[in-house]
This record gives sequence, C-alpha cells and structure tokens, in this order.
Amino acid sequence: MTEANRLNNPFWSWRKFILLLFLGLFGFCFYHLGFQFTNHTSGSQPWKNANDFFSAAFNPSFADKNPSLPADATPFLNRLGTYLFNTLRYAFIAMSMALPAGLLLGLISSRSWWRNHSSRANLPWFLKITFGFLFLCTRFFTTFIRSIHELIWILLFFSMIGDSPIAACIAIALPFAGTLGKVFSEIIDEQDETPSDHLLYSGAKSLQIFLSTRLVQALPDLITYSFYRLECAVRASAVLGFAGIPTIGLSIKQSFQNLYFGEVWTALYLLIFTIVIFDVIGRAIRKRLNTGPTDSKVIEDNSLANLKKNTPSWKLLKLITMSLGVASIAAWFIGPALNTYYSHLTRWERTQNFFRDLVPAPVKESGNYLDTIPWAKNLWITNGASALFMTLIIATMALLLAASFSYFIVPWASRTIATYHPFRTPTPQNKLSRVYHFLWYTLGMLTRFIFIITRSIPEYILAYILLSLLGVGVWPLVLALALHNFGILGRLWGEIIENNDQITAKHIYLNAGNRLQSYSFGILPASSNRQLLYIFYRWETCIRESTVLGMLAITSLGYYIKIENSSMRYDSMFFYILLGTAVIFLSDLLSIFLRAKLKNAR
Amino acid sequence: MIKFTDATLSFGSIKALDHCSLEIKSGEQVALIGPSGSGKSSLMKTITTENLLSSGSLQIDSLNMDSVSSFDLKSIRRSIAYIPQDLALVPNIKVSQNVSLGSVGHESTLSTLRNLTFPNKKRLDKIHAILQEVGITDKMFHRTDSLSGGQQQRVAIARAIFQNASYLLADEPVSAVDPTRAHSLLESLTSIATDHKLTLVCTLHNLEYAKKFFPRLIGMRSGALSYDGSAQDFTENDFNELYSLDYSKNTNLTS
Repeated sequence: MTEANRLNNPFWSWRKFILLLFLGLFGFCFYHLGFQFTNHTSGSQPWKNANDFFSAAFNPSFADKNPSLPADATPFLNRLGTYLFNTLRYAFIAMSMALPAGLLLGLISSRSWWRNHSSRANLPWFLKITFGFLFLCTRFFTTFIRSIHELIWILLFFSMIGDSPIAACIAIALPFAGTLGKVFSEIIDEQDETPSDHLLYSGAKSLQIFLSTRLVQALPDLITYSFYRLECAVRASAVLGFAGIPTIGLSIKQSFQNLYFGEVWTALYLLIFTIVIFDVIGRAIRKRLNTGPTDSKVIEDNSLANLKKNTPSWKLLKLITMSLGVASIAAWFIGPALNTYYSHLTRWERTQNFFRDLVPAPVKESGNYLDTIPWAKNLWITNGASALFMTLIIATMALLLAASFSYFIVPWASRTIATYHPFRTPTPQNKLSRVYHFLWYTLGMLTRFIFIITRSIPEYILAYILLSLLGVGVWPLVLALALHNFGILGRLWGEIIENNDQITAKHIYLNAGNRLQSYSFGILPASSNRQLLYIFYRWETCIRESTVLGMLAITSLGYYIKIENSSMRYDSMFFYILLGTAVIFLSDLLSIFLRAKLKNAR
Repeated sequence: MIKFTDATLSFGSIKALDHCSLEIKSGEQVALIGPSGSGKSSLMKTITTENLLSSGSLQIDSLNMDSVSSFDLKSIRRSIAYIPQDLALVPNIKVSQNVSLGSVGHESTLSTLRNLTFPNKKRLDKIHAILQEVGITDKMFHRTDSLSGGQQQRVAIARAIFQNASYLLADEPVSAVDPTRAHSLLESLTSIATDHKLTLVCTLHNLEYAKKFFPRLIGMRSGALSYDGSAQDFTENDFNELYSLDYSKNTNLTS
C-alpha cells in the first residue's frame, strides 16, 4: 500500500490486518479440528484416571511402587538420579558439539561477514560470485539441519548407525547447531555499525573489524542465547527417553505405562526443578552481561599495577563459565560408554544398507530415476497432503491459543507492572500498604511460576500425558503444544516489556492512570511489533514440533515417518521428512518477509 | 597538509559541499563553524575518506584522493584520527581495550586479537600514560558503557591519540557536556594537539569556544565557505552572514 493510500484509509493498518488474519485462521483451524476434545473408548474410566493422576501430584513417590521388583533391583530414587545424570550428561555432550559448529555456521552465514567493505569492493567478479554462492550454501545448510527435529534425526541415526547414546547426542547436536547458527548470525548482524565503520576509516582490515568490534559487541547476547539453548538441550535430552535412551523421559514413560502416577510426578518435579535452576542462572548471567561489573570504590593510587589489581570483575560469572567448561569435558568421560553397538552387521554395512534403502523402491527395481515422480505423487495423494495439512493446522491452532492467553496474562508477570510500585513510582505507606504489597507480589510470582512450569515440561511429554488422559485425538496435541508455547511466549514477551522504555508508561501512571492504561498506551504501542515478530518465530518451531507429536499416533507427518521407519521403508520415510523440511523452508521465507514488513509497519 | 580545490559533494539534488577551496597546513588548529546542515560534518567525513567528492579534488599530504591506490588509502586512513559525534566506542569492552583499538590500522589481525586479550606491559604502560593525559586513569579497566558521557568522550580522545596519527578530527566534541567540562575538554584537546604536533580540525556550534580556543575559523553555510580567517577578525557582520535565517539558501529548512 502506498503512502497516499494509507493517508486515504485511516482505518487501515498492518496491525488490524494481522488481527483479522488471526481471527480468520482461528475459525479455519477450529472448523478443521472439530469440537471433539476427548475421545474415550467405551467402558474406560477416563475421569478416574485423570483424578488419580492429578491427585498423585500432591503425593509424589520416593520409593518403587512396583511390588514384583526383585530384591536387588536399583531403588527408585537411585534410578531416577542416574536418569537425571544421563539427561544432563547427554545435554552437555550435545551442546559441546553444537556450540563450536553453531558459532562457525553463525559467523559464515551472517551478512556482515560477507559484507562488501570498501576493501572488498575491488575484488574480481568471479570471487564476488563465489562469495555469494558460499553465503547461500551456508544459509541453506543451516536451515536444512535445523528443519529436521531431533527426534527425527534420532530415527535416522538409529537406522543408519545403530542405537547408542552418542548417536542420540549427535541427533540433538545437529538441529541445535543449525538453530544456534541462525540466531548467532542474526545477533551479529543486528549490532550497531558505528564502531566497525570507525575502524574501517582508521585503516583496519575487514577481518580485524569483524573480530574486534561486531563479534565483541555480540558476545553478551551470544553467551546468553547459548545458555538458553543448553536449557533446551536438557529438555530435548529428557525427551530422548521416549526413544529408549535412559534419560528422565524413559522413567516418566515407564511409570506412566504402569500407572504409577506418584513416580511420574517425582520425575516431573525433578525435571522442572532442574530447568528452573538453569533458568535462574541464565537470568543472572543475562543481567550481569548487559551491564557488566561495576565498582564505585575510589582508588587513590592510580598506578597500573594497582588499577589492574582493582579491576571490577564478577566472580560468579567466572565460576559458572569454568564449571560449564569442566562439565562439558567431563560429560564425555564420566559415566557408561557412549559408543555402544549391538548388531550382527558391521556399522559400515548398516550405513550402506540404509543409504541403499533411501532410493525409492520403484527406482531400485527399474533403475530409472524418472520412476520417482509417480511414486512421490502416489505418496503425496494417499497420505502426504493430508498429513502435511494436519501438521500445519495443529501448529497454527496451538500457537493462536498460546498467544491469545499469553497476551492478556503477560503484563501481570512483569516485574515493573505486577508490583506495589509500578514503573518504580513511589507509593504511600499506610496500614493497608503491606497487604497490597503482598498481594501484588504474590500475583507476580504466581504468574511467573505458571509460565515457568508450562515451559519447563517438554511438549512431547505434555502431549504423552494428555493423550493418555483425554484419549487419542488431535486436541491433546494442540493443547500440549499450546501450553508449552504459552510459557515460552510469556517469557519472551515479559522480557520485551521489561526492556522497553518505561518513561511513557510511568508518565501515564503519574497522571493518575492505572496499571492497565499505562501498559496498554505506554508500552504496548512501542512493543507490539516485536511481540508479533516472536509469534512468527515460534510458528516455525511449532511446525517442527507438531510434526514429531504425530509420532504419538495422530496422523500428522510424524505418524507416517514413524510407521515407515518401523516397517524399514526408509525411502518413503525420507519422503515425509523432506515434506516437513520443505514446509520449514517456506515458513522461514514467509517469516523473513513478514518480519521485514513488520519492522517498518505502523 | 589538507587541500580542497573547487570541491563539490552531492547527495542526489542536495549539495553538501558546494565548490569549496581551502587549505589546512600541518600543525594548524582550525574550528569549523556554521548552522546545522551547513556541510561541516560532510567536510569532515570527506577528509576521513568516508565520502568521495563528486567533483573537484582533495589532496592529503602529497596524495591526491582521485587517483589514490588502495595501499595509499590505508596509509592516509592510518594518519587521520577521527572522533565522531557518536564516539563509536565498543560499549561492552574495557576502556583499555577501546583505546587499544586505536592502533588497529597498524597491526595484523592476529596482533589485534592478542592485544585485545593479552596486552603486553609496554602497551598497557602507553595506554596508562595516555589515559593520564586525558584524566581518566582510574577507569582504565572498567567497562566502557559504565562510564558517563563526558568520560566516554575522553576515551574516544585517548583512542585517537593512541592511533599515532598526524591529523586529529573531532566532530562536535563538546555538544553533550556542561560549560565547565566543555572548557576543560577543549583545553586538553588543543594542548594535546600542540604536544603531539597534530593538525587539529574541530567542528563546533558554540562560537565563543571556537574564538577562544582556535586561532583560525572556517565558516560554512549551505555547503559553501562563508568565512575563512583568523578568530580575531571574525566580526558581527560575519556572524550575521553565517547564521541569519535565509530560507532560499538553506536546503534543509526548505525541504
């Protein structure tokens, strides 16, 4: 729309268009998902099960519930401890591989790495084309490894090289390296350009400029994000249990199948507690890295040695960095062997067989690669198209639900709003003020607690539990995905609100406005575009997630990927995986387009 | 020596520099004055090689910017230390590291990395001495963004001194500080330039400071030179000609 048209249509804006789009999509998804929220088989006692499950929340188990266990079996708590150790170990191993790879990918897939500084402008044309080609290749590679979910990478690796913990760790490391690469490149590209420009005009070379300004400026954000990914790796590692790897997910799955709900809750509490610890440390690191250590102490002796001795530093940061480094190295060596393999075939034979089986069956028979087309067409018509549609619908509906609830709840989790002194304004002290203070404090804590709990439990585990309670249907998956994303959006949006300039909101509050008015008119207009950006960013993640949730017996792409894998039809399994990948590529492009639009939208 | 001959710099239909001719000799201290949008910063950025002239020529030392090789361009850039208005400091590193970045044009990439992470004693001593000169030694190992605006301005000056250049260019160095600080900052800038035998070119909005601290003033208006002479000879008429509101001449006000 041109500037002139916009002036003619004062009621038209991107925000209104997005709102209409949301409402339209909401109706569309509801129409296709139907209104059957539960699906219980006749004769079952669904509400008794649900009642048993939720009442067990107040009565977690600390010993085995299974009476038929042999006397020398490892006690429940010891077993759970081992599973937690494995969960953390595999997460650290995966991150120790993903971080260097992600950093390398992030550097070479960032625009500023390839930017034509004037020193590069004189390059011959063939080098310019080569650089452009390399840039596109790294971007493609980064998106490709990211677009396949870790649970699908596990299926691929287990089929290819056999099931060992190291294969599972690599399966986590691959998509994580892709995600780290993508986010790292965005962070590096977003940095302020003035310091690098300054160095350019004082005679520095491109690489010098990149390393000494852009990379250094990006470092706090890179570290903070890496720590957040470590938290995600712990969740991913927990979910590995569902693929048979002895992590906390395996404990949850086994106890749930035996209906020992008390044991399930103990494991869930342990997982939530672990994630909360990571979250708290992560927040502390972010806070300190954004401001740096300060020291107001006046130093009398300004000699170099004395100044060096009094350098302000934050000891806890050093301690955390060192512990993380030691833990990443120790994870490789402490504990049972990582590279186990039990099969009558050698690994090489197995890998060869796997790649042979990736060739479509009709092509294997006829040797003509053109036979791929009718084969793929058939797969698309029979299951592919409908599975893909279902995957998209589940992801979109979950995100819409999560966003709608999160949108209204998020201000009440903010430390600047849900407090007795909103926007740090002084409030009179009287008899009731202590009560108000307590009430606001409780509300803020409670909301933040709900957000952190919902995002601590991986969506796969949530979906597994909800499917068992509500019966096999599509809604439990939508709800699981929505709950998890509700927690994530709550955190991301909360950060936006707290980082947003508070001056206008404070001004409204001091002019006798209330908290809601101050938020709605002082913060929301400036931050709503960023909030929308996060929705698009989550949409892509939701599609990846809804693909794998299908593995829990709903006919989305994951369902067919799992079925074909267990029938060892790797050719059609790979077709469905590529279908999912293609959608991620498209949603990535759409998200880039919409983000660019929103950045300049009014 | 910096010599502009009939220099014009255009951005589309806007002429940022309009047939300017002037010469600044080595060791001179010059203040560039004039209303906002008069072309002061454009002139500065042309000297730092950030802008390329549309017509006319610029000669720095013996090199003509029209036909300069990329090797010579680097050597010119090394010889010009610039303090931009927004300072262009890396916010999240120590003051000593920011100062150290001044000499980046003289080093290889590996030495830059080494100097940033493990600087040797000799280097630290030199940085310490420069920080003493600008009066913020106590902040040497503090994170740059924990300093006040005025202190950060001094870090940018220290970085420029560390560049070991022959020209020092400063764009509005006192725009964000109170009068007392502005006084002492300009005093240190001019005395540093004298001590290090640097050619100093400074853009200033405050005419009083320009007249007090600089022997030569260059007045600009709508991209053209309107005054070039000694500070003592600058009369009220010159002032009126430079600053009077003339809508037909000032492109920024009419557009």
